[in-house]
Amino acid sequence: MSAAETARALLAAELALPHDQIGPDTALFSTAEWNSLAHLRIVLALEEIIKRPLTPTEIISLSGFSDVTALLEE
Amino acid sequence: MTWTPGDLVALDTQRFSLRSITREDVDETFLSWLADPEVMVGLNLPSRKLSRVQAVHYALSYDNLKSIMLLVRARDSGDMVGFFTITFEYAHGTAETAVVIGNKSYWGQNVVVETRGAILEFLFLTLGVHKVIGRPHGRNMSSIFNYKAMGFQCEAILREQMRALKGGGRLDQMIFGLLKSEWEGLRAQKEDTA
Repeated sequence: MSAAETARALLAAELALPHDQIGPDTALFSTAEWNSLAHLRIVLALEEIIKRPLTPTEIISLSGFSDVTALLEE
Repeated sequence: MTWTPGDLVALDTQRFSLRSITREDVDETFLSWLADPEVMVGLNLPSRKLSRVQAVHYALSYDNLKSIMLLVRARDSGDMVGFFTITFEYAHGTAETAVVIGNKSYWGQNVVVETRGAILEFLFLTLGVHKVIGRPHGRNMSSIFNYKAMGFQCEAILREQMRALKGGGRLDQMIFGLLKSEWEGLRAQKEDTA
């Protein structure tokens, strides 16, 4: 599975949205389902996949689909 | 709206009321929040089983002069939802806020964004504060989300600044800040798009 596909699956699960509604426009400020609780779940799910805690800078900059994808591309 | 230091504060949003906490507000629900590790971990504060007398003393230490504790209630049900603290540095025209959402059924309901919006309006417009800051620890993802969502800038990361009360180790602390001019700009943008 590519990083983008994994990001789509992760965000679909944590935002409780259909896969086809997840894409480059899925972001913290434009997706209503991406609230504070969802944000916490997304970070924890992401850390579980990449098997390390996010750095403070990564935490600050995590704002949308492309950020999640970039972290999964490591 | 006018407000003189020492007065009780009363703010309303669409779904919530925010009122300076009083002795009568310190009930079993309030005590249960302070005793709940899952609630207090967000502030990296130890959960504490306080007596009502101790909790009243704590709540009323926010004197509506140098600091304020605002109790958040749902306007429709009257449910207690959580509380904000605001601490002023009058000499510098700054204020710091922190928040606890003790009622877990309101987690993920955008309570903080809605209620902090009213607090920012109060601080910037009524009091003429120049800058508002918040200092969440680096693992408080919900808090970080809320600051970002409201346009706060992360101005600094204090590395390993705090002892982690859960799991040992140390936590970074982030300093988020919002200037009045930035808030006015964001507000104007929002009005333009509305």
